[in-house]
Amino acid sequence: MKRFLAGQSAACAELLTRLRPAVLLKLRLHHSGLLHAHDEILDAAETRLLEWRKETLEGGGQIDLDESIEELAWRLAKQEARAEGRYQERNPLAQKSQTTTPTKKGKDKREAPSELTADERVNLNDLEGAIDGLPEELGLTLIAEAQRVMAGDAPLHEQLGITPEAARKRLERARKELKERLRQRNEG
Amino acid sequence: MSTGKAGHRSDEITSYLSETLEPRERAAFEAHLEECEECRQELAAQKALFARANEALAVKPKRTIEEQVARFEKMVAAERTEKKRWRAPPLAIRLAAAAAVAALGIWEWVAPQAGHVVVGAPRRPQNPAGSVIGRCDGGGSSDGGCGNEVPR
Repeated sequence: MKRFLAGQSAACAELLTRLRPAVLLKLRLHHSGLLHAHDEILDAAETRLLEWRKETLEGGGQIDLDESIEELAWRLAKQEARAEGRYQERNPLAQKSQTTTPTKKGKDKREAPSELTADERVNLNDLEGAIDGLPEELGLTLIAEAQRVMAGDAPLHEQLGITPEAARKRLERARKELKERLRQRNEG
Repeated sequence: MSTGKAGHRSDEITSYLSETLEPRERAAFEAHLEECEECRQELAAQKALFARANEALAVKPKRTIEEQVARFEKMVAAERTEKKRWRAPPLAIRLAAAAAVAALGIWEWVAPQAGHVVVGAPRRPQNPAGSVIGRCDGGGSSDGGCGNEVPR
């Protein structure tokens, strides 16, 4: 954060790389009716971060150097969502506990891709409910992996700020947990 | 090793896809895959599941990290230009100010020697004490002295 405040580009890239999946996770867990606008909120939150840097240098900023990336992400995302007039807490329990009861999606209109065979098709609601019920650390890992694969974002370990080996282990844990939760939902 | 409902070695398949198996374990698992149809099916199912998870979670950002960093660099460059403008006036003004200060200093030093009155210079006494002592002209005192009365 200090290097970022000093204006170093590498520090800015590192901060944004780690901030992005955290913002997306927070938006996902805490907001309904915003899923179509996650890209806008993300962009606004990132822009706000850049502006806050200048305000901090001028003595009026609100960046706490001891604040974690996750806390900062949540504050930014919440502020931007509120500024857009679309803030609506999705599940109050989600903030208090990392292992919340899975919740159903609000207004997400995305459908399962048609190229999947019947055997491969996974009920989208079940899948997203299982993902949302994961501990935040594991949810963050799945989001970071999705951003890497689908959006070409930075490698998993860079997004998580850990070693490559630790990132692979965490991804493995997240996937096993996801699988187990899906199995439980199917059985239940 | 866990044996899930969907197939034996289910967790090993997850580890394989997450690239956490040791090279020897990986080789052994790949050898097993060649002869186990159930594991091949489970592998395909898990691949599909994780691909679906990626699709469900990914958001296409409006700007890439590189684009955001480029914006950041522009902002920093603008700040630096702004600071430069405020902190350092143009060279001509700085030179003129330096010349004015130097000229004033020289004038303060030279003018008294040339007999000019320097504005702001300490005023010299018109009748300095050193010039009066021992040079009495008899006026200005009741005792005909010089005003430097000696106690009687």
